[in-house]
Amino acid sequence: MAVCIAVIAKENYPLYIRSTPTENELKFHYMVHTSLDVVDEKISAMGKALVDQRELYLGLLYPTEDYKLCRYGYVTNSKVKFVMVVDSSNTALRDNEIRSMFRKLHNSYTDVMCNPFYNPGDRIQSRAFDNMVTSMMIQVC
Amino acid sequence: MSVPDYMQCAEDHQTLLVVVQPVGIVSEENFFRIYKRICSVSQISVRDSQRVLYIRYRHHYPPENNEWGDFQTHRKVVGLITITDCFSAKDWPQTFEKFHVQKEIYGSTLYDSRLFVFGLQGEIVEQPRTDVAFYPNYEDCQTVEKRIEDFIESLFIVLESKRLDRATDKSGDKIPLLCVPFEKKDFVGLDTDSRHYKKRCQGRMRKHVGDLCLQAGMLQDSLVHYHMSVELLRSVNDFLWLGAALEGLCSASVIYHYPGGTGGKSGARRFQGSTLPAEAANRHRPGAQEVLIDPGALTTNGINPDTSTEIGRAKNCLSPEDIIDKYKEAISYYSKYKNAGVIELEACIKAVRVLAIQKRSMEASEFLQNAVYINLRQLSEEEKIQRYSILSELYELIGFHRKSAFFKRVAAMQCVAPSIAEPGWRACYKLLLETLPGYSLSLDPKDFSRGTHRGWAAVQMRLLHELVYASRRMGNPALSVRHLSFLLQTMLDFLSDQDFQWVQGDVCEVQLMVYNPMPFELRVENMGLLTSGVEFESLPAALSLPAESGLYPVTLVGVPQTTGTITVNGYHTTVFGVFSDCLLDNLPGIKTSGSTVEVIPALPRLQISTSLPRSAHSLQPSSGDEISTNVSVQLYNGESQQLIIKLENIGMEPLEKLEVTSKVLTTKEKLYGDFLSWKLEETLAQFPLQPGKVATFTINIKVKLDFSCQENLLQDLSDDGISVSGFPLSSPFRQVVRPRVEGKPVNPPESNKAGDYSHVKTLEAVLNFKYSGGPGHTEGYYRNLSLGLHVEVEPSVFFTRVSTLPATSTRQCHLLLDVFNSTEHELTVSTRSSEALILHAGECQRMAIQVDKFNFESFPESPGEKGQFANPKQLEEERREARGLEIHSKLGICWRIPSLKRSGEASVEGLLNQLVLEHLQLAPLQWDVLVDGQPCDREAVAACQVGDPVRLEVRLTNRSPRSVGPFALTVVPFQDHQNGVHNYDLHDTVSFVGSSTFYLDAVQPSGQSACLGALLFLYTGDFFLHIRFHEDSTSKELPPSWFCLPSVHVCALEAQA
Repeated sequence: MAVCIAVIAKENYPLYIRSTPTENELKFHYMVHTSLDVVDEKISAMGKALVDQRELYLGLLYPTEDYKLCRYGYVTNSKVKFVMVVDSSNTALRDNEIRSMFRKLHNSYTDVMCNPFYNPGDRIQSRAFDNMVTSMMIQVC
Repeated sequence: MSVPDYMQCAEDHQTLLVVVQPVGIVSEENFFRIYKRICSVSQISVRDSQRVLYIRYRHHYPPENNEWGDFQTHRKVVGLITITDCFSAKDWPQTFEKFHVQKEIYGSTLYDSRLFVFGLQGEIVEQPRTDVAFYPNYEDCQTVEKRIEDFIESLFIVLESKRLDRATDKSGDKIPLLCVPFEKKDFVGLDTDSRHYKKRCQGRMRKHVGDLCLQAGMLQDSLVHYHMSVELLRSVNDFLWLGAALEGLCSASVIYHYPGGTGGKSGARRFQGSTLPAEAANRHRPGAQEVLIDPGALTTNGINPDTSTEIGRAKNCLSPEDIIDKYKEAISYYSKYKNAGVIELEACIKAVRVLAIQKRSMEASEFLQNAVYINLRQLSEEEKIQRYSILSELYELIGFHRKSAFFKRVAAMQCVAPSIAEPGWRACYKLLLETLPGYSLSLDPKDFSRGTHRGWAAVQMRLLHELVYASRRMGNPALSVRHLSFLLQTMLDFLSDQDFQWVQGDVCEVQLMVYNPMPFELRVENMGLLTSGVEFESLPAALSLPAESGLYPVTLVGVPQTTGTITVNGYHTTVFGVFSDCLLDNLPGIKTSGSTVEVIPALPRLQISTSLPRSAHSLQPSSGDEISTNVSVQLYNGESQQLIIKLENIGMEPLEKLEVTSKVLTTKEKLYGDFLSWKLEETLAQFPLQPGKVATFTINIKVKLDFSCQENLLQDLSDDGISVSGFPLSSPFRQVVRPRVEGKPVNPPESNKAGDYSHVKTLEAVLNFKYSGGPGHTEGYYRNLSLGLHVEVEPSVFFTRVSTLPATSTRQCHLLLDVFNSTEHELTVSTRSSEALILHAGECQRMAIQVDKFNFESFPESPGEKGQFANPKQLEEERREARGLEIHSKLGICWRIPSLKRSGEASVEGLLNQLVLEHLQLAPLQWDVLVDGQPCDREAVAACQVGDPVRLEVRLTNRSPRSVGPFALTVVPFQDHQNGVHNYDLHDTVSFVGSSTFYLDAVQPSGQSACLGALLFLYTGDFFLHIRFHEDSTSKELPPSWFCLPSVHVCALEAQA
């Protein structure tokens, strides 16, 4: 499943980023960072579409950069982006599954935002959100 | 074709390629001055300004790229301009000759060429010549531009004639098949009369004509030709050329749609004065250029009212969307051919530039992604840097700043890759700086002054670390500190805490960042630390803070006097005579309430100095090594040197314990023997080392790299009379020269290649000293100190060849070594058993060493005999090394350079291959032949009397770990006539007492067996006995070299009365 999940603020800095395995964290940082170019590009192309018809799911961002890692993107109405790096070496995930994962992530993010003690724009340090992300990532055995 | 031009753009298809080169010695400055002026003539109107020719100048062009000129004519060098200095008429013929030689390089494709001669005056200059222009000097040459224009016009005439020639080729004539270099062999033996083949020829020729039309400024015609070519080639599935035709179509359409050019900065060179922004491309363009290129515009200007052109334009020219589709198609065709990688790569780049203008970044990124994955070949480091930089530029072009920064950083890292001999830290630093915006980093601290940091901390931190390191390595510590303090200031929250300790009695530091908000300079006196927990002697500092200083680093020092946990609570100052204590707790701007540090008991301090000079070359620090000193030494391969290290205890505690470890930094060279060795006991005998006392420590540096010269060492063993089976081929009398020193003429190719051997190799090692003493030692604390060692190994001697020659005794053999002296000095080589051989610089001689064969099986390191398949390769390697070492110690080959008074060993370990080893090995079955009880070996002649029976005994000692036998042996006597004829017909002369066939029982491991027989010589004479084995299945299992029996020479004498 997912090996890295990142939440990116409207201003394109990370609010939350976690990856497994942890030892090569920097690699995933680079990976997510460079995918933002495509996310930006896709969002600006979408800008013309009507807001209510807008598809939040951005689909595959970079397919072949790494042989078996695919990155998918998702953008909320408030321009907060979710980027997910998925290890597709053994299981080919269907688009639907990715979508549902993003929706789950979005719901959890909404919960975080509902917390009156959270300042929008700060790093996300919610335990509930953390647990949800953990459940979406493969446990390295 | 293997050298891609990363700057290519679609408009380049309409250019004529002209190479400008200097001949002879022309200063770079002068050459580029003229080159610049030549380059200014980049477009010429011909035919009454109806058409424009574009010229692309290059001062360097690989001739192999020229070979693809038929495929895309803009790759063809059609013009050559050479620039030369010539000061006297005497030199003139030679200069002119050089010009012709230069022409030869591109000879097959040149339309015309020019020679510009500077400095020549006199008679020669007077003769008017079209191909040569004379100028008195580099200042006085106003007509250069005019000359170039004339030159280009002459190019145009040739181009035009070629175009017309090719265009009017009717199908009646046989059209030649154009092909690219790698195709040539594919078309051998093809039916040239088939329709398929003809279509292929036609299609390719059409495409070629299209190229020529495009170059000749006839965009419209070229489009028509390309279209026809595409149709023709598609029908015959000629994919490579179909791709080229499609690309031609794209190029022509791009030129039509975007006259402003797609090449960006580099393209703008051609459109000086009209730096059109890309968006303006479709707007109405000013200048003659538009009139000339755009056929549509021609009508509006009334120059060419032919409406058919207008219709043709609309039909033939691709729409902006179609251009990309066709590029995609073309690239997919190119990708079918591995040899067309460069073409594919360049097409991708061209398409990206077009897409950048069209503002279609997503699609452009796909093309770029494809370009990233095109594998050309093993790229050199420089090419890699170029490739990554250009990828970065292209990503920047399409607005992918992050991706661009990523590739730029990769390029920066490539500049200092470990494989590069001289890392370009400056270039690396410069490139890294350029990546800053891509990571939204600004080096202005103001942007970070308040609030929590928002950004890609992990990535940014990495970049800052790299900046710190790069600036340090390029020798600018001030800059490095600046970056470091910036890193600390902005990223402190993300930096991991490093555990450190203070040592009792040592000076310890605390750094504070202070800020003077006042509009005047502030003198701060008596600034010191406020601590608690441990008795602390603060050493106050005085400083002056500049007005509105911004953040200003201040270092406060002190000495902890007792052990325990110390807490830095704050600091005290005296400003304007007011004494104030500032506790960190009370400062609102600081989150931490003091730092806590552990103070450990006192430890001794060691300072090392060495007998070797300090090195400017600092080692690549590997993780965890903080190297205090670097020393360097230059040694010849095989040489040893002692490194004497003085250890001085500069602390207050006695030094009681010292441990030394060494780490050889990864090197590609194979090291034989111990590189560094030392005896710590002698040093430890001087311990405990009281404060102020000095102890010495000696390290032996011994460099023994490979003495073979790698690929040059192609053993050709058979030519020295070595039989592969291990039997001596020669008769026992073959006169093998005893250990000899035979001067052999140097093989000329080898001596010429002397330069190949003279590589200086570098070895690097880190010596770690771990020491302790005093109260700290009892608590188990240590200090570490590292010494970097940089050894440059110059080659001494090389063994260019090694072979063996059997000696007369089966227990011995000759080892032949071709020794090459790669130093610049006279050198002597000696072995344990032979006298010295003198080698002059660059000389190669053969030396022969008689060696007793080795009994390798007795080595304890040969568990491989047991047949364990744990790791056969590794075992084999170990065994080989052990054998090499044994041989090396037996041979004891040494070299000496008398003039430098230097000497060292030379080792054959690296160059003994399996075959040579086999020859040097004593067979596990040891055979002895005794005649009348006397062992027969070598050339010893056994004498006997005619008529007396001679006892012949064959003894076998089995040293192998298995039982062998039984064997049957037959003794065959013969006489050697010394002329190549052996007489075996000796029935009347020699008689056997009993059977001539002996029988030997099976012999257990380490057992012995013997068989006896007797011979009776009836006449006098010299006889040889050849002892032969009866072939059976058992003996076949064993290697033939195990059955090597000495030949027996018997001399039968007259019986004494």
